[in-house]
Amino acid sequence: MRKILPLLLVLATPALAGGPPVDDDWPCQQRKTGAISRAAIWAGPEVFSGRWDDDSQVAALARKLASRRTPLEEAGPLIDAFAKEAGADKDKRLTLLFDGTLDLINGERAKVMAAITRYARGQKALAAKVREDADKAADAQESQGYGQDITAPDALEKAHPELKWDKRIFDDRAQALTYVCESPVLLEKRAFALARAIQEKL
Amino acid sequence: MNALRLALLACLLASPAGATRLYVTNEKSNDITVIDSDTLAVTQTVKAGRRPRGVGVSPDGKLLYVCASDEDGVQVFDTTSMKLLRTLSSGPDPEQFVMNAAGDLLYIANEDNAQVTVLDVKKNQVVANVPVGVEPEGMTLSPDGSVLVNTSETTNMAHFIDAKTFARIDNVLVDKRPRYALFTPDGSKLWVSSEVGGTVSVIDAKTRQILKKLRFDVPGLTREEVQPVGMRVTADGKTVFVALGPANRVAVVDAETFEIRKYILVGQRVWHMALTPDEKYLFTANGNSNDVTVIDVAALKAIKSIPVGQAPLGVAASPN
Repeated sequence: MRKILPLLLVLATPALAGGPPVDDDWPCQQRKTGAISRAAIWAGPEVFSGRWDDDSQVAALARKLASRRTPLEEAGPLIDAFAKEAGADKDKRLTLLFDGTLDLINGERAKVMAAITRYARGQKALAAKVREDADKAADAQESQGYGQDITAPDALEKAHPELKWDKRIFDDRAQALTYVCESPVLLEKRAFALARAIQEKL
Repeated sequence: MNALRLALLACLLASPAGATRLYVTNEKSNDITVIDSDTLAVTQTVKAGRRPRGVGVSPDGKLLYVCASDEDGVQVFDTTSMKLLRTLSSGPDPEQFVMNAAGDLLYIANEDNAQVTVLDVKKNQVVANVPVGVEPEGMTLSPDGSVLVNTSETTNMAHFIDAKTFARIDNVLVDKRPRYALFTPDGSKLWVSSEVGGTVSVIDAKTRQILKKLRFDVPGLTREEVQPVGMRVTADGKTVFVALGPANRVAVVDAETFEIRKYILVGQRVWHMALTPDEKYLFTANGNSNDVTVIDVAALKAIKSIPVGQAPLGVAASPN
């Protein structure tokens, strides 16, 4: 029984068992992980009552910080200036600023990850189309009795230029994927760096 | 010389006092960052082989050993000039190693061929190749030098090996993907961290029975985010530090009661750690935030972040 119980747990709740959840549509080497946890990057105060977007100054700065258009080097001075003018509620407002930044980055990260999954599905479909078209073209060639080596990719592509294009798109996208897959990690790094910079001002 | 200190990634070598130098291996920028423990500043950055990972200093402090994983060798640097002296031929993809107290033998875990290579560093000669489990990873030596322990990632075992005959003494099944092994200073217990299992197994070194399995329930984090990797123990054997990977925290564990005293937020994706010989500071290598966090050991507080190279993984302290 002692052996069976953990096994059942593994079957019932793969996430709790510690193994990475399996997702066939996730094309990246990097593990697919859920939203960035507040606790993973923050040792400051717990959540305060009130929403970060109720404070217009906090909301504006959170948007600016979360945006990848703002270089990280500019974040420090911006947070510094905010902290100096934050008044008596400084810790609360800094915590809300962190919560806002994290919310926005998590939102962006979720979008990026959904896009990666869509991208991977598109690639799969394209791969299937290339395979199918190549088979069809090869069959057609064979039935016409060209008598040439239909396994040679050159011969096929000469007769069917659209195949070449599809393959090229597929290869380009596959290469781009390496970079695209870095995006969620880059956002995690950004969230962490911002959390640290905000925390220093508490 | 206390052999235990050599056992910890061969990093932490005794003999107190004086400014300590810390050596950090940066896996992606292929270099070593040197940090002065007095000023807590970077003094030098030195080019290393491709994918430098495991790192350790010789007992006399004169030589620095670095696993260049993608070059299938262990590089030896002169710590005074920081010049590369030679490259020792290890097996394929060396990751971690441990050195004996005399400083003449390296025991290297070669991830790709399921073997531990025992290397005579003076002769640059392989003394033995010991078959172990699939994807060997953690390496440690008992304080008396008699027992070698290796963990294997895929087999999920800690292999106890006679350090003289290289005969297998025992295998202990632990949780998924054991990454690091550590003997307590008295040699009575072996701690093994399991990265994917999220636990640390404390094993009785004599009976090889698991005495305790530690879990790290960091409030607000999912279990998946807690991945124990590197560990360090204080010389009195009372405190063990456990790096928790993507939880971005170091757990401070009372080694006698197994109570978790504190979780310290450090940098992102914390891997390995090193204590200065005076145990004033603990340095942690943070793979994703590309920095080293300095922890004040008495206060159990992170006091500084020092930017280093890309993807820091290993860190070793000089003994003098």
